[in-house]
This record gives sequence, structure tokens and C-alpha cells, in this order.
Amino acid sequence: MKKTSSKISGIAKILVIAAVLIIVPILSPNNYIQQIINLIGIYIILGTGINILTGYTGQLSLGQAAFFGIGAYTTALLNTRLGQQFFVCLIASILVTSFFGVVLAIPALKVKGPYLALLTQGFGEIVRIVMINWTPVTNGTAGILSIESPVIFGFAFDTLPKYYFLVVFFAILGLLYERSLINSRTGRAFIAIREDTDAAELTGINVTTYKIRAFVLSAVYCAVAGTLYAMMIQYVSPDTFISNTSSVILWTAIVGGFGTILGPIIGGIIMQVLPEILRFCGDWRLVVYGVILLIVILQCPGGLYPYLERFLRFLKSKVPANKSKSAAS
Amino acid sequence: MADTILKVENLVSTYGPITALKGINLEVKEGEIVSLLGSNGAGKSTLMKSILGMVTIGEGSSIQYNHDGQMVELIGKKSHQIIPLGIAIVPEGRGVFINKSVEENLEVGTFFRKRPAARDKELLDTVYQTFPRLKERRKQLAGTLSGGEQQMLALGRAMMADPRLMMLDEPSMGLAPLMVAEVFNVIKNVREMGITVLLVEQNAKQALKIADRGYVLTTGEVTQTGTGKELLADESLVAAYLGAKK
Repeated sequence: MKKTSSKISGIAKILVIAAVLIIVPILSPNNYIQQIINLIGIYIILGTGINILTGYTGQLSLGQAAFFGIGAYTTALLNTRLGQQFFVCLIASILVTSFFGVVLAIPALKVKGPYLALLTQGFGEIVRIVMINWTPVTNGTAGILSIESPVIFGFAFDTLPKYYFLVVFFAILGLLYERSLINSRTGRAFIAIREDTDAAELTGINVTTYKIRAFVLSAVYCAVAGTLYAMMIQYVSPDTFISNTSSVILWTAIVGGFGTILGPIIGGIIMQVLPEILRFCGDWRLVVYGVILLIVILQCPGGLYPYLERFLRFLKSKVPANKSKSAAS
Repeated sequence: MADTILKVENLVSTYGPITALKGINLEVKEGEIVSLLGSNGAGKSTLMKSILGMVTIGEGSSIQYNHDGQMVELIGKKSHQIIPLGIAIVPEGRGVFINKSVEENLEVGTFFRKRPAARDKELLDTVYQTFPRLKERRKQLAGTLSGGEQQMLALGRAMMADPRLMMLDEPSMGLAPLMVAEVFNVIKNVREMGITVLLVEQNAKQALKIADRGYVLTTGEVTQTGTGKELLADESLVAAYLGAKK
């Protein structure tokens, strides 16, 4: 009895979420807002990727923009030079980015803490500088123009509201995969490494391969986000993949809540919406933005998701009480 | 005569330019408790790390482990390959996962087995029988346990691995005297379960009391060896570790 009712409420939840997700592009008044919404989706994917690496495995990365950029450039080049379509670009981006995930993971295995942060940041800078200076391939600072929007099974995702559904699909896929990953053997190994790397090693966990796996997985998320980004904006340039972008990706996971599945959703929304809302502050916009983020991490050290969860549980505990009251009257 | 389970020959271990072990010879027989004594920096922990493949080892060294009747060379293997052979370690400072529950900590002990074994449940029951307090607190976070309880948890986790050889690195460190006595009792129980014990200790007197044999390490070399009783009776050793009798 109880099981079926919880099943029904589960289905109801999914229907409500689906309804909200479908209504969003209908309600969005213009392309400007729709683009922000799509970017939220892309940053949810990026945030989920870094959440696996940093939130669950404890390996701080300040170079996620490099993976994001490699994914985006791979897609841009395959599409504009070789005329490849979405799926080929996506798979190629994933493969190329995974390769660089391993490349970064190997030196990263030897360092931790601040040194790992510096190493990953250095990796990000190297990739950005290559983007700028390898002009014959990347077209330098001018970037790569006129990337085509994707056509999948004959359906063209050529407007932002249509593109939205593509982003939502991959964001949900990414979140579901993360959830099953974290509950698996691999996820348990990741968490053990985060909690105490030495103890994990002494209980027979192969720390090396699991760390590499975490780097590669987070790179794959960046690759997917990179492909989606390149085909949405239809233009890539080194300006997008700067260290500030790495910070925003990191903050997306931190603000939402490291090591929580749904944290990056909250983080993605806040990190994308907040700077837009603050436009009324004029020149002070980024200062206010920074201060707000500082307050958030000082007040909610575990990120916002755990607080939201507590709040929802509090609401839930109130609701049945009201019901029984109304039944009594 | 019992079979040899672990045979260390001419072991040289280095940390960069520093040679921590200068040709150690050591043998552990099946079913024994062997204590490894020595002051800080003598190389006791390095020896354990060497057995688990976590230290650079010099040429000509050999660490043979009896795996199902066959002597296997451990040098060149990594810890995640060595532990599944039946060697478990209770690391120095316990190394429990403080943000995980007691039961989750114990489950980590079985991680190296790709598939959960039918024996896992049995092992968990044995651990809970040995440490009733862990059963009481199985849902509690390990970080909320006392030092002694955390040590019990580390021991329990090693038991979950179903090892043939258990290595303990300073299990009595930082514990109250009553707890120390309990830890040594548990070590005796572990041996009764058929697990061979290699014990590193600074608490020389206690360690020798329960040990069949002991080795004394001084700056990377074995300087004394003998049965537990012999070493306990040795005035100079007692003087070195416990202070001279007045």
C-alpha cells in the first residue's frame, strides 16, 4: 500500500518536472532569456562533471574550461572543416577530451591540494594559449565562425527554444548517469578516495585507476557541454575558455553543494541568473556578484542543496499535519 | 613445523636519497604472532609499507608470500594487487573514514572483492560478535566514535577482508590503558581465528607478552630476534624501551 503510493507520488513528481521543463521555453519571452536558460543547462552538465571529480573524488580542478574548450573546438573544427554532423562531433569530442583527461590525470596523480590546483590551472592556461596561437587550426583569437546547428533524425534544432530540449536531454542524462555512478562500486571507491586516500589504498582500492577514471569522466561531461555550446552559439573563440570559466564551473558545483547529485542544478541556475539580475548595479555588478557568492559559501558551507533539502523536509512534515486537521474538521 | 607465510630477505627500502631499511631478514610462520619493535624512525612502518608495495625497494631484495601453498614474490606488485592475496593492514592512526557510518567502513574492507562473497555476511557477524560496541553503533558516523572504538573499527575492517595475514601498525597508540589491554586481547582472538599477525608496536612489553617471536629494529637493521619470552627477559632490551629497572 505504502509502496504503491510512494510509486504514484514518484510518477507525479516526474510529471510535474516534465511539465515545468516543457513550459519553460513557451514562457521565455525572448531569445536573450532563452539563451541564458540554455546556458544554465550547459553549466549543469559542466557542474556535474566537476562534481564527480572534485565533489565526489576530492580532486580539485581549476582547469575545467580547458576540457570544455577542447570539446567545443573539436566540434567546431569537425563541423566547419569536414562538415560532420552532431553525433560524429559529439563522439569525437568525447574521445579527444577523454584523451586529454588521461593526459592531465597522470601528473595529477602525483600531487594534491594546492599543487593539484596549480597544475590544473596551468593545464587550462596551456590549452587557452594553444587555442590563441595555433592559428592554422584554431584561427587564433578570431575564433571559428559559422558552426551549423544540429539536425538530428531530420529535426533541426535551429532556434534557441528548440535547442533547449537538446540541452535538457543531455543534462538529465548526465544527472541520471551521475546518480547511478555514485551508487555503484566506482562511486564508493571515489568517495573513499576523497575521504582518506591513504586508507582507501590500504583497503585495496586501486587509487590510480579510479582517479584517472574520475578525470576522464569529468572531461567527458565537459566534452558534451562543449559540443552543445559550440553548436548553440555557432562560434567558438579562446575568450570563452579562460580561467574565469573554470572558476564559474567550480563555483557552480560549490554553490549548489559539492558531493550532492542535484547541487549543480541549483549552482547552474544561480551562477547564470545572478549576474544578469544584477545588471541594474551597473559597474558594481561583479562586485555585488562576488560578495553574494562569498556570503553564500560562508553561510552555507556545504552548498545550497543540503539547506534546500532540509527546507523541503520541513515543509513535508507540515503538510500531512494539515491534511489530518482538515480531515478531522 | 608450520609453513612460512611471509619471508623477507635482504630488504632494502629507500625514500629518495635516504635508505630506511638496510637489508632486513624476517620470517613469519602460519598462525604466529610476530612483534616488530623499535623506536621512532627504526623502519617499522617502512617495512609494512614495503610489504604492501608502497615504497621504493632496492635490488636484490625479496618479499615472498605463501599464497595457497605457493611462494609469490610481492616486490613489483601494487597494494591493490597484494591485498587480495590475503594480506590486510590496520594502518597507523587507524585510517577510518570519519564521514561514513561504522557499517559502511566495514563494507569498505570487502571492496577489493569484485563481487560480494557469501562469506561477507558471516564475517560481519564475526566482527560484531568480537566488537559488540560496533554493532550498537553501526549506523553512527565513524568520526563520532572514541579513539579506542575507531581502533576496533579499523581492526574490524581488516577482519572483513578475510585475510590470512594481518599487519597492525601501532594499534595501541594514543589509547587509554584499559583500551590497550582490550586491543591486545582482540589481537589474540584474531590469531585464534587462524589469522597470522605481524604486529608493529612501541608498547614493547605488551607486544612481547602476546608474541610468539619478536624482531627488534634499530635504524633500519634487525639488531635482535628471539621468542617473546627471550626478548622480554633481555635486560638490555627492556632497559632500552622501558627504562632501566631501579
